[in-house]
Parts: sequence; C-alpha cells; structure tokens
Amino acid sequence: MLLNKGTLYALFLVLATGCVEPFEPDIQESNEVMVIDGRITDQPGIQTISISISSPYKQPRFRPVSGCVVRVEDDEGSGVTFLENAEGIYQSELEPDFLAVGKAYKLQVITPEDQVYESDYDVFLACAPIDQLSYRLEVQGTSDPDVNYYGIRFYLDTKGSGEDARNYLWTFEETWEYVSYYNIQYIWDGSDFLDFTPQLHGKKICYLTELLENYQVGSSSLLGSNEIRQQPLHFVSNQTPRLQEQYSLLVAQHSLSPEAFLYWDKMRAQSGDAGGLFETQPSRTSGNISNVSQPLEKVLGYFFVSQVKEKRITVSEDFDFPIVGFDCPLDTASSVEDFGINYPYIMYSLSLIGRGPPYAYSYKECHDCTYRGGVTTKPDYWDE
Amino acid sequence: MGMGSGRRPGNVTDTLTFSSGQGVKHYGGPEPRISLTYLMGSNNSVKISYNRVRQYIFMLSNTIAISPTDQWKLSDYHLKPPFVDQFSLGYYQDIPGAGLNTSAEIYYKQIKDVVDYKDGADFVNNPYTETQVLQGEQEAYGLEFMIRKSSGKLNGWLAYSYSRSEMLFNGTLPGENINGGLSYPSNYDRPHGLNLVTNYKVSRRLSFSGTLEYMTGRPVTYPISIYYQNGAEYMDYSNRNQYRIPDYFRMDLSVNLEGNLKKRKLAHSFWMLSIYNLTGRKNAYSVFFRNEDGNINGYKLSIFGRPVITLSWNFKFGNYASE
Repeated sequence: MLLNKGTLYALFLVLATGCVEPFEPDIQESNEVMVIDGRITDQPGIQTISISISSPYKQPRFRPVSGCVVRVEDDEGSGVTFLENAEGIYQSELEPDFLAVGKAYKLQVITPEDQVYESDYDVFLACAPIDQLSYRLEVQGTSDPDVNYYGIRFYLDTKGSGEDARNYLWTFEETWEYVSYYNIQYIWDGSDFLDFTPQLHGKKICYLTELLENYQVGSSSLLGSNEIRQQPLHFVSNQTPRLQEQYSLLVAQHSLSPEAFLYWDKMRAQSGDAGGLFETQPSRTSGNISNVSQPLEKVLGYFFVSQVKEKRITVSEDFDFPIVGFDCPLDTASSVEDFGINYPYIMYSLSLIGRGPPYAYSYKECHDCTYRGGVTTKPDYWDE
Repeated sequence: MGMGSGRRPGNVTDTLTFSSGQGVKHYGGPEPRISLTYLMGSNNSVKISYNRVRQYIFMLSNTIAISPTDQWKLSDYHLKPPFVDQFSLGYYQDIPGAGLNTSAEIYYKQIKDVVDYKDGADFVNNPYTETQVLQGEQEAYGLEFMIRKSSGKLNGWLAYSYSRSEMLFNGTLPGENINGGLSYPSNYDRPHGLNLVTNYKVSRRLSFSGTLEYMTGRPVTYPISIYYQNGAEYMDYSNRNQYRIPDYFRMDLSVNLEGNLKKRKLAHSFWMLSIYNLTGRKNAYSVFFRNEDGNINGYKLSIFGRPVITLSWNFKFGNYASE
C-alpha cells in the first residue's frame, strides 16, 4: 500500500465532494421504438389509439406516427377501423354491441412501411360497480422534518360477483371550483376603459375539469370474494388551491384481464418523473404488442379492453390545514402608460371616486378566472 | 401472505406477533470445508478445495442512485439465508533461481437463495423488504494468475483475474422474475482485473514504488428512451445491468527517502512523496440521471479525479533497522 488508511481518509475529507460532470452513456440500442397505446372501453363517445415513436431520454416529446391502418378486431373476425384525426391519434366510435362480455379483442396496426403490428387478444370482462367513495385526511412528510404537507386521500370500496373481473384500473377526472382573487371593475383595452358588469360577464367563479395522468390498480384475485375495501386512490395536497372551495373527483373503474393488470401494475413504477427515476429499481416492461414479421423487435405500449363503471364524490369541507392560494400580487399604476403592452389589463380601482388614477391591477388570471382554463358554467352535479 | 400468490405489498394478509425471547425462525446447516494439497515436487503443488458457507446477513445494493447505496439485511421470517458452494483448483509453481512464485487458480461458485431487488422495487418506502426482493440463483466463475517476486532490488507482484458473476431469477409467479427470467450480470460482475505492484530499491536510503490498477466498470441499468401512454410520460430502460459504467484505471507512484543510517540514535526519520492517481483519470464512482425541467440528463460522479500529491515526514524511535 502506497497510502495508508489514515492518509486516504484525510484525502477523502478534502475531496469527498467529488466531481460531477455531464456524462453521455454509450447506448448501443435504438432509442426510437414503436409505441402503440390502445385502450378501448364501453364508455360512449370516441375511442382513441395513439401511435408514436419513443424519443431519446434527453429530448422527450411525443413523436406521432402517421398514415397507419388501425383496426380492432374481435375473436370472430368482425372489426372496427380507426381513422387518423390528428397526427398519430387514431379514433373511432364503437357500435354499442361491439364490445361483449367474454369476447376477446386484438389490435392490428399496419404502418406506411407495411410493417404489421398485432397485440395479443385481451378479454372484455364485466366490471363491478363502485360501491362507495370516501376520503380521509392525510399528512405527508417531506425531506424537511419540520415541513408536512396536508391533504386528503380518496378511498374506494367495490364489490363484484364471481363473473366480474377481479382486476381493476382506476382513472380520475377532477373538477374544482376556484374564485378569482380580485374583482373586475374596468378593462383597459389599450385605448379605452371598458366598464365591466359582473352580472353580465361574471368571471369570478370558475370550474376546472382535468383528466389526471396518474392511475391506480388493484386486484381481488387472491381474496375469497371479489371485494376490495378502502383501496387508496388519488391524493390532493394543500400545496395547490384545489381544496379551497369545492372539489369533485370522478373515478372510472376499469375491468382488467390478469395480464393487463400485471402490465399496469409494473408501469406505475416506470413513470418518468423524478420519483420513478431515483427511488425504484428500473426495469424494462414489455407489453402485448409485437411485429408480426419480426417478433424480436421491441414494441412499447399495451392494448386492452375494459368495461367501465363510474362514480363521483364531491368534497365541500372547510379544512383546518392551510391551503396554498394563487400568487396574486397587486400592483399600482399612476397612469395608463405603466400598463405596458399586454392588453387587456383588468383592474379594479383604488380611487374612491372612479377608476383612478391610481389604478390597481394584477395578473389577468387573478381577475378573470377563465384565464386559468376553467369555465364559468357550474356543473350540474355541483352542490349549492 | 396468501399462498402461491407471490410477495407483493397488496398481498399481505396477516400480521404475526412474537413474544420477547421467542424464536421467530431458525436456519442452519452443516458448512463443510475440504482442502487438499498435493506436493508434486519441492517447487510445485496442486490445491483443491470445496466449501459451503451460509450467509445470515447479506447486502442489498442499489446502484442507480447518485451514491450507490448498500443496505445490510438479516435473514428473517421470509428471507432464507443464501448459501454458497465453492470449488477451486490451483497450481502453484516456485522458481527459486529467479526468486519467483507463480500461481494459477480457477474457481466456480454457486449461490442459492441470493437476494436482489425486484423490477420496480421501491427503495424509499418499503416497510416489507421481502415484498421488494426476490431470492434466486447466482453463478460465479473465473481464473486468476499471479506472479510474485519478493526479494531482490526489484520486487512486487502482478495479478490478473477474469471473473464473471451472473444472476438468475426465473420464478413462475407473476412478477417473480427479474429481467424477463433471463440471467443478467450481477452488480459485482467485473470481468477483467489487473493489479501491478512494484518496488525498486535504488539504495538502502532511496526507493521507488508504483502500483497500477485496472478493473472493468460495474454493470448498470441505463434509461433508453421516453414514451407516452394516455398522455403520461414513461421511461424505457435497458435490460437489468446490461451496460457498464466506464472502466476503472489508476496509477500511483511514491518515492521513499530514508534518513541517515547511523546505528546509535534516538529517532530515525524518512520522507515519503506519493502521487495518488498519477494520470488524473476521472474514474466513475457512479453514473446517475437527473430530471431537469423535463429533460433527463446523465452525470458521472468521480472522486479523486486528479493527481493527489502528499509529502510526509515520518519518525520512529531507534535506527533505520528498528522495527
């Protein structure tokens, strides 16, 4: 040994910070792989199959594959063709009797280069109804022991018959109400002040509906009866304004075949966020789609068919924990020149006798709630 | 756990409680060791050995983090102690005229019930370790050559090893295999290793020494691409441990200058000048990835990525020859 342990240790203390530099691993396989994402449900409306190419991890983006012939077929040979409505997005409406319990379905995609991709057959299974949705308060620790996040987590109970699927996938659509921070009194359109009549335009209260990317899976296949109790679902934290007013979650319960359950269970660990990257053992997940003439080609994605049962829960509780609001600093201007060029400015007046000066204004979205993406029409399921 | 259902967090069906001092689970078994040496002549011999060892504590290694984290785990109610059968055969030849000892050895190891993380195992929130790991088989084999010169002005040794280590987890229950049930390199599979240590004594007061170390980089699982399903982003990874971090290479050098050789004195001193990592190679300690504004960027962490020079003046009681 040229260096004894003590010396090494001292050196380590000096240099332990190490040196971090960008590193490009030499990857000897294609990072441009066919991705076929097909989920067919019995929900009324348009069904979508998306076809794309994966992108190098340094430049993630959706890279659609156009010009494919896309067809979903049942095990008796009758099928539905999906048409490309946007690049890489293939859509169709299904006849109400196309999906039948017990029948199996497969997806076929023929690319412009005449490559034929086919999925395995996936069985359409009956889905039990959602018995009950509930929520409970939850405290989540953070890396700072003095800081906790508060929020609510939703729970689900379901009970099915012996014929119903034993495996489930749950997806979520949330709707939440929010109130714009400031009233609107006048709108400066760049040359004039327009009077604003709240009764007429009402941009104070909005309702924003979004499909969530996260999902949950569960299974009763090991249990004596097809019954799941208190399945944890989506968590809503106090780090967004979502719980300030009323919040509503629509849960869609999908029936899954055992194979589809395994796939989606595994995929939950692969999602590309930071958590998936550093906190779980990475692995390759293969789906149920392959290239017919080149079975060794890697194909990403999955095709499955589900019956869907929905249930909604609405939360209008005043919570004790603090809830982060929108960032709405108020600024004042002594003349209209100070508004800049980002019209229309929406403001309310600080002057007792009229619209000012001085004028008070904030971000547009702090006055007019529709700028945050919501609509002012109250959903019919909303509590008063 | 439900019978025949695999250990998954959702499959926990019961909690067992044990009173103080009660044995939870007992493991054990014979650990035979056999070693035979056959002296073929006065300067050469053959050694054969076999041994079986049970390991009641083992290490779980997570190599995808910024700093590869290892976690020690005891065998418990669910996890059996891994056991290893090792066979080795060696040939040893001394060449007295040249002052050399040489050896060549081959070995084969088979480990049963070795433990590794499941695909998708959660390193952070895993109250039930047994639901995040699997037990499978590991096979390791290799050969080692060594040549040593322990006397003369120039002495030292040169060793080369070729060693492989592969894991196999091919359970039949859903989610009970790793890497699709195919074998993959273990975290310690570093095929080529070369070590050279030399000392050159110019005189009784001045000597030089140098070392050279080379090792194949550790296996690692790399992200390959990103894709989208139903609007959500997913990462596609390589097969388990399919790639390797860059190879390790290091060269050190030192000069030793002894004080005077007087026989009668209170203390003897010597100077030592060492240069660690002479070539300044930035050896990768780990390769990791960060999500920065939606882009995944790769980084390499190196420690001692430059020559490290130390000069030391050492004392001991007595004279040059004192122990």
